[in-house]
Amino acid sequence: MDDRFEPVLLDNDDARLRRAWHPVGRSVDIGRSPFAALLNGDELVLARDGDVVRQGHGREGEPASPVRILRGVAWGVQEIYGLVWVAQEEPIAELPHLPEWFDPGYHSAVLTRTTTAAAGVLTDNFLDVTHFSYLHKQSFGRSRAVTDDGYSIIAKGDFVQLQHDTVLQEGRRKDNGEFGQRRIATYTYWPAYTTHLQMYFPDDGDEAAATLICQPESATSTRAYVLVLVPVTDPGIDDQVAFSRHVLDEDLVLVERMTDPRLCLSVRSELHTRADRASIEMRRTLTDFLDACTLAQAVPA
Amino acid sequence: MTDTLRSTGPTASGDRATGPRGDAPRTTGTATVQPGLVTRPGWWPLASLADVSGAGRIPLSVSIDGSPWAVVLLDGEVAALRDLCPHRRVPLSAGSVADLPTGQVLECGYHGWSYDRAGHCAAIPAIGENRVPRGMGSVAALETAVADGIVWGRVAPDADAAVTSDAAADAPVPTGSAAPPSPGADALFLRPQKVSLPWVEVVTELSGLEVAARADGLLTEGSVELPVTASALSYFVRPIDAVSTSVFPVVPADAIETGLPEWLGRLAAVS
Repeated sequence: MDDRFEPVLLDNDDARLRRAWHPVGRSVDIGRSPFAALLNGDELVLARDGDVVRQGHGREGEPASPVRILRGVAWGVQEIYGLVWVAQEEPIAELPHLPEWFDPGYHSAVLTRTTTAAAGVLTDNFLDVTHFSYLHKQSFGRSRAVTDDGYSIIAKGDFVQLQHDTVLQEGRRKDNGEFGQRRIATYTYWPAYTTHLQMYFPDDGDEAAATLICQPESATSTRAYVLVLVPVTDPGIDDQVAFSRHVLDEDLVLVERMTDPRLCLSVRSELHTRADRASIEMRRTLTDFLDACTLAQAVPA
Repeated sequence: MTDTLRSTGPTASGDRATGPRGDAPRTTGTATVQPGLVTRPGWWPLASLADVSGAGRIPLSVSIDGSPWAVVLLDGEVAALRDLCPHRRVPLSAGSVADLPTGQVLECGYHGWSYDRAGHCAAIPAIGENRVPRGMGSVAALETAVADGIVWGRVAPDADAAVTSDAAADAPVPTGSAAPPSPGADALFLRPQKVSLPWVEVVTELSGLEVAARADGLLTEGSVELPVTASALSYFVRPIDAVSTSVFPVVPADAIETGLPEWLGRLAAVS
């Protein structure tokens, strides 16, 4: 009957994460005009020093008008994955490498949503394959629950990776036009808030990817970006974007109802089963990252 | 307007209108206690039975002074379960009723953890069927009673003290009355109304300063019937949180035709 617990909840504007790269807007949305963004509770105003906007995959080497900070304090700005990124203080880690982005065989779209749920909660949700049968039972969730033998996981300290083999009931049709395609998915999480999903469809050999990246705007607001990456030979990018938006919205409806929608870092404050290994490793990896940020702060450069 | 007060159709939806976060205080920093887990002792009116049954398989989220409970019918009986799944901290009121071979349960909408009327965890899909370790994942449950068309709930006198209060976990829980208070056979409840004011202000408006001054003492062991100033009307209150109150209006059974419009006027003045 004891429902008391003292969770360690990660504030969405935790100052330690000023030492990480975060997106502050989509490349296509930032031009010569001042662009206002919120990051970890700070207001930033950015603008491009010209009219050339960074284009998509594999074109990072092409010229683009640089983005600079007009107002606010930042250690650095960079532009990649269709997003403009800011580190408020010297970051302790580089951004992860998302191979599909550099593959000329892919094209992409970036959808975005703003939510009251914390970035950590959204990331935990994206990495969690065990909720499909319930939260997404109206869309792609299969009828049988994902148990602890439903996926495999590796955690290497600085990232978490899990592989999940499932059958989709929506979003992607088989060659005969019906749903029910097998999907082998590999999810990789890097702190602070980047999770990359690579999908392989053995029925037809197709591949696709989607990346959730969260911008912790303030204590009470997060902007989520989903990079939808599909091969240029696949005509269904609009379908994939619509499907990703639909799935994200299903998740937001639930997590926005949390009384306190911050990520609980203390593993003992929530109940877990073996099927929650990915959630637990994600919390541990993020906690280690936060500790590393603190250590970096303590040692003057 | 009249229809909103008549205790008939299912239109109310618990206390959720307060907003997704409710108005529970949000502490900052990383070490904090989950807010809203202190439940005042004694019987509290939770909702009309019509609203609970009208909501069907979807629970109402009902807050007793900041302490949230999911209220729903399971196999025809009222269940009031802690509105917080211990797995991922989402409200159980975001879930729905599911049918298990052993009876109906409230199923969390996130991962399907399911709870019976007593709050015992009956299913955790991720560990397979019929494999919930004894005692794992249970949530607190209120003792409930239905009287005069109103669903009442209280922390059972033998419940774990932790359910009642974080601050006074060792304090004895008052035994109180075995049955919820009743306005009597010659009175009727109207549909409960949410008022966006602290309960002391509501009592001051409806019953005057003198009653309001005593009200804190009156409500230490549950809700009590309060008189409306210069009227035959009476009511019960349940503090929803620090800024809003649920009023359970009562009219004399032989004066519904005059009592109903009088209540409408009183509540309009309070709101």
